[in-house]
Amino acid sequence: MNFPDDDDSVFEQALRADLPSMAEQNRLRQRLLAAGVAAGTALGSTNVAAATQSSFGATALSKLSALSWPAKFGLTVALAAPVAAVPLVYTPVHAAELVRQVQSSAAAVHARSTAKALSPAPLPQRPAQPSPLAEPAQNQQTRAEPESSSQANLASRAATPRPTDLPTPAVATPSSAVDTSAASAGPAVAAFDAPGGDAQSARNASTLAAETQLLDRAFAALAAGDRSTASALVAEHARRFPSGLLRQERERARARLATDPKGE
Amino acid sequence: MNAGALGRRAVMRQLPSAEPQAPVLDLATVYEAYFRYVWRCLRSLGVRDSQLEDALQDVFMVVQRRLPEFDGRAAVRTWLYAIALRVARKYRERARREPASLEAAREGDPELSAVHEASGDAEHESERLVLARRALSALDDDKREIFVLARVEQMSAPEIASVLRIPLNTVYSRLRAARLAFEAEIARLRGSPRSTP
Repeated sequence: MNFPDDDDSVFEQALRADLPSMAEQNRLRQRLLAAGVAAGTALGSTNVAAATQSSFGATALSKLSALSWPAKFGLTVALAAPVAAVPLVYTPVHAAELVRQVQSSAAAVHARSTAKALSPAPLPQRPAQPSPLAEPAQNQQTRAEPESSSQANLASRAATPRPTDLPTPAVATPSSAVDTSAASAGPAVAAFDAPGGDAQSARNASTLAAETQLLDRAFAALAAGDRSTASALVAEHARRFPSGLLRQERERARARLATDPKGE
Repeated sequence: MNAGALGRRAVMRQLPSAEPQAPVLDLATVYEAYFRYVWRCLRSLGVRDSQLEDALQDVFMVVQRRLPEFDGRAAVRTWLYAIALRVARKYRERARREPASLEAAREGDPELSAVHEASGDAEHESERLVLARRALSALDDDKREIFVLARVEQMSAPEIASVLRIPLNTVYSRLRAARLAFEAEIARLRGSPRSTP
């Protein structure tokens, strides 16, 4: 720092100390990893977007970034299945190489989809190489889920219908598409269905999305002066999520309804 | 900032054979080294909490897309913050067009956006952070950006001049004004009783 008056205030220190927790960092890593792998190297697996959009490539990244966050979240979850079945390795790829990979991947997927094969094509089985991006998550996953529970998890998966029983490719059945290789090579995606904290955060995220949508509409109705709609939405939130993550916001909306006839 | 020292040494590596002189950035390493600081930077620059993940994803997607173009002449950190700054501007602009939202309501009420579960020093820190974020949000965009880059991210004046594309003298004068405005806002917030709805 080379500014003359360099005395820190406690408020500046507080801003500097405002950093994400490791859990948050890992969760976002998984999300970014899913998006990054999908864009860079993993389109060789069954991916509806690749099958239907032959020019999927660099331009898709900008389109992805323009999506709202619920859409991105959904896309990430949808991508979890194909990502789980391939080694999670990210290596820097030059643009030309990326376009070549994407084109060949899209062509391969297109060929598979036109062959009307009911069972999913075998996914490439490359030796698992830990990605630097995935490694800490993998370590954490290893700590959180010992081998015995992994085996139990696999056993429960074995009880579910196999992809061959179903008329659609593996992308439509994310949980059944995860085979044994995913358990060892797919930390980022294994966390999506891992029991405990991650599963709880996934549920919270899911609830949060629905709660946010409800209360967002309620506040918008309040701002527009539509008290009846706002009241109904608040009541619906209270009914569906009595102990929801956004109950404080619900109470705030209620307070506005009670105190301000315009809802402002 | 410690991530700055980590910077190019940790992030740059050489291609093995094809382009021996061309440095290549590794997205994973950039992420590991800078994720937390980009997260903090975006928050400080006014990206709403509900949109923070989207903004982060946007930043790292831009990073991924432009990695091959990065020539290594600028510091990685400067390059990364320049991307984050522009993404944050986009999200601030978007938020201004959608004011009637839950998040806008939350940001208007520091008690809701703050975490007040702790006690003692932790509580004080939490309240300081709330005050600081409110003071930041009262600054205009120019002051806020330069304040965050200088005082929070602790970038040097030449780095800031490069990121914001303004003359060095302007960096100093604008930062001085930003600090005065920030401190005045803090004083105002501390002096005024907290209003309840």
